[in-house]
Amino acid sequence: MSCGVPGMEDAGCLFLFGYNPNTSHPIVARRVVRAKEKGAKIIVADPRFIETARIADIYMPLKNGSNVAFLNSFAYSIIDQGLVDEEFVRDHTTGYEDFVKVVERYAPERTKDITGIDPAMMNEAARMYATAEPSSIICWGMGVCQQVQNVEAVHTCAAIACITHQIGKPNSGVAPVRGQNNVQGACDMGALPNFFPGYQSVTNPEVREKFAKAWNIPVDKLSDHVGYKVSDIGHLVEDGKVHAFVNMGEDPLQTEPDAANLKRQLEGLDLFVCLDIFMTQTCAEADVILPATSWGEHEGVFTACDRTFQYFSAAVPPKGECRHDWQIISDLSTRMGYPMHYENTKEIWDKECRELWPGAYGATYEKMAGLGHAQWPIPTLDHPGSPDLFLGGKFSTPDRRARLIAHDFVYPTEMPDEKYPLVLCSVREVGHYSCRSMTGNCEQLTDLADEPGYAHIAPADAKARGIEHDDLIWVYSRRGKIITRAFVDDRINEGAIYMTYQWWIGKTNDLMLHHVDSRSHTPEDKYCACQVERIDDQMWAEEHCQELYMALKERLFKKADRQYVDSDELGVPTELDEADVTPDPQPATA
Amino acid sequence: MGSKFVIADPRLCVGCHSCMAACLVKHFVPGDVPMARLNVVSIGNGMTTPIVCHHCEDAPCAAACPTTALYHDGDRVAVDISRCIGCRSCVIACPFGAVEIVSRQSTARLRDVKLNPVEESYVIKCDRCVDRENGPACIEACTSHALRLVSDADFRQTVAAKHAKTVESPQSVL
Amino acid sequence: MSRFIAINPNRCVACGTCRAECSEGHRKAGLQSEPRLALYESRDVVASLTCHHCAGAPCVKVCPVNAIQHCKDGCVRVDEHQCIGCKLCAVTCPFGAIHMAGTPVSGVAGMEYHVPTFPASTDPLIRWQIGVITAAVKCDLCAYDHGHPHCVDACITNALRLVEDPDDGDEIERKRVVSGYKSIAMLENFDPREDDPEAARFDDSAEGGK
Repeated sequence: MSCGVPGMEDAGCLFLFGYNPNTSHPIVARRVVRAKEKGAKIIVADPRFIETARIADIYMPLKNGSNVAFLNSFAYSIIDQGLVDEEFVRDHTTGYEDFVKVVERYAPERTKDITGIDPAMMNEAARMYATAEPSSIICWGMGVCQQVQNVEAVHTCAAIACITHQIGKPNSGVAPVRGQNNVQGACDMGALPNFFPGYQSVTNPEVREKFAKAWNIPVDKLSDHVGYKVSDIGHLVEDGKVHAFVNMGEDPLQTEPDAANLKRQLEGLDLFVCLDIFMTQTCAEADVILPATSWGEHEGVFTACDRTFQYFSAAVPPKGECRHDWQIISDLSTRMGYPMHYENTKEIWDKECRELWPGAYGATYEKMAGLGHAQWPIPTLDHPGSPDLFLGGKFSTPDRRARLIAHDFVYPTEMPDEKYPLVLCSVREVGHYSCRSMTGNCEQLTDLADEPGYAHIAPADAKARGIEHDDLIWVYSRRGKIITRAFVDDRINEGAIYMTYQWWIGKTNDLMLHHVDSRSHTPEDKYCACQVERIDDQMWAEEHCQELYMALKERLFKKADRQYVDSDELGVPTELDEADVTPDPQPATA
Repeated sequence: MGSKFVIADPRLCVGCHSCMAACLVKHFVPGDVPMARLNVVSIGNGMTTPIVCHHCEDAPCAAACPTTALYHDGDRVAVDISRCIGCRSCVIACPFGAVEIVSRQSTARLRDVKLNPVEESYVIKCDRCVDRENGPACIEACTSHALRLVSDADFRQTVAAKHAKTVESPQSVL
Repeated sequence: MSRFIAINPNRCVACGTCRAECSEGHRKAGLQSEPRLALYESRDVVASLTCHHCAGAPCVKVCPVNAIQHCKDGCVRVDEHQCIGCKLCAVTCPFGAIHMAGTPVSGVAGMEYHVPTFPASTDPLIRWQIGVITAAVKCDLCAYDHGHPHCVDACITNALRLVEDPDDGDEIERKRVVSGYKSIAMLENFDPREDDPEAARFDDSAEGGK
């Protein structure tokens, strides 16, 4: 984010583009409510009439999968109404002429059938956004990223902020609100195939020299090209390019699209290691599980979506054989030939982050103690941190200018047809989190919301299929078929249904298409085609659902139970079923 | 159609509370609650005024009432005290503070059998004295001509008068 | 005097924290873990709704075993142990604030998982489960914690508030004073007597003045 989360309530306009803070970030939703009460204008563009739409000044009923067409029209409208800050464009950007060449073909009158937005409304919204004082912020999340045109939409959002000079000043700019804790931190620390910590590129020779020196290894040990992306793991295994996979705390068999196919692909691994705190569907397939510690059992630093480092400490000590991630990694590394040892997380933070990432040097543990924080860039010890980026219009490109890039619109990959007439879009819900490895094992939360979860469906689509609220239904696509519950919802647009990707039985990802965008390889989780059908025998459906759920829980429990088998007894049958015991290729050495 | 209601002029009110007394007396009958439906308040600068129900055309109290104890009846918001459950939605909804709820324990009887005591609640709101021969008791009792009944006709009259006044002075229409 | 929890729907972000806090607090106190607030979501309004603790509450009147009582601190409470689950209170409540809930038998006596007797889409007032003793569950203003409602503190946008004593409280007085003050401005340019100074008052009966 180019601004800070607290500052959002002081902006003059918040433009939520396919972003639903109420389910993704209630704390940000709180800021939106406060911004509204402080007099800010709220624009919501979303296919659904989300909670924020109720308090919005303009609600734009965006059609699913039309992002780039919409954004191009929005930009067109800004230019057409003379709302471009020409001075800012001249002094702080490049590429405006080429940008206009693309965007000028997207007059709102021409795109209204694709976007569903009336030209008058597009103009009104563009004016509201462009002229808001003191600043505007465009907020987005997976609504932008999990589409076939991901990076293209991001480019256009950034360009819109630039041409209106709604960036480069306090509480303004672009706010891609990260979906997970600690995805921002993972990116910051270079858990990416193209970056070292601090977004320093792996392809840059000077950078490689610096890291090789710091890590005391010959520079040719460091890869000089961009690595693989985790969303491609299935194909990489299938193509024989990846043979071993160490999976840390992810549950791709729950969260990746076309999950059943991914499971089949991962069976091709020679070695599959999982670090996790609960037995998940993914861990159940692993060759080796290394039990890790949860957030309450270890300390470290999280980065919030607005670049704020925050230190957190352990509440309870680890149990049993569970070890901290950094201890496991150090141990693995040492055994694989590169000795690695740290006394504590502070040593890691100081050595691997602060010393190697100039922008984080001022973020000391002292500064972050208690409820303290450090918002990067924070290059020196006495630097106060940076809530806002690009102040004065200075961007992080080599020439310090923002590059304005526009793209032509492309339709989503799998459009609805006669057989699968509804758009399936995967979303979030507040009551549970992501793959539910944590929240699904929490009694209090499963009491409030449990399997199979819901598919939100418009009243007309439900009525046409004889579906009533809370009915159990089949949802199916070209990939598979699952059972879930119908939530008949008058806020949903006709022709689309929305399911959370978190349910193990009502598993959206058994239906989603695995197609990634060309640049970042993010899956197209917001758009594929499906059909919905009411199950005639509702009582059978209720029992079936429970049977599936209990069978899964039992299977995972049995897998977890195996972990307690004494190593001396490996290979000796226990009271578990034969089918659960995978024969070891070699007998264990005592 | 619009509504008719009693308005008070703070510039004339002397704070004698006669209106409140008259209202209470009017409601001092079996099946009703002997309480004033209007309340005199002090608004600073030595001024006072009674607060009365406006019988709003789109009354929030009637909209909020779950049992239609408050309901629209022509040009007023009427009260059926027997339907009140004392939920106080109307009290919160009214922006003027013109509605109140009172409750008391009553003992129901079935012939000679005394049943368990129950809490009964009553919504206290102006009914505009539609059942009173001389109209609103408060207006009759007011000692300083501060209260009057107004209706659509009055507003129309005033608007017409304002239009007339406006066109008389040419500067305002240029 | 009575108290209840009211909401400002414009602040509600449907995060469900109030429900989670309610459920957990009551569970810990050995009561039903069914949340006593219901989250209503529609295009027009999103809000958490709960019991009004009505002064003349119909649920109190209708209970055949006197399990629901007016309490001294202004709350209407259900004694969950006394309740026989007849549902009359849930039927009569005009706000739908009473939820019928019971502890499922799954996990007890060899029953592995919860198999419902009726599909979930059956209306809650008609639905029942074999072996489950249903009780009327409703807001008790957190009686287990000195009547200090947890949901109000938990709400992340301060959408919920505890309304105390509206019958003769400061809130009504404040509203009256403000509207009285405003009425001066109201009357500045409104004086129907201007045209007819003799017509000091108007009659409620039929045409025109006295």
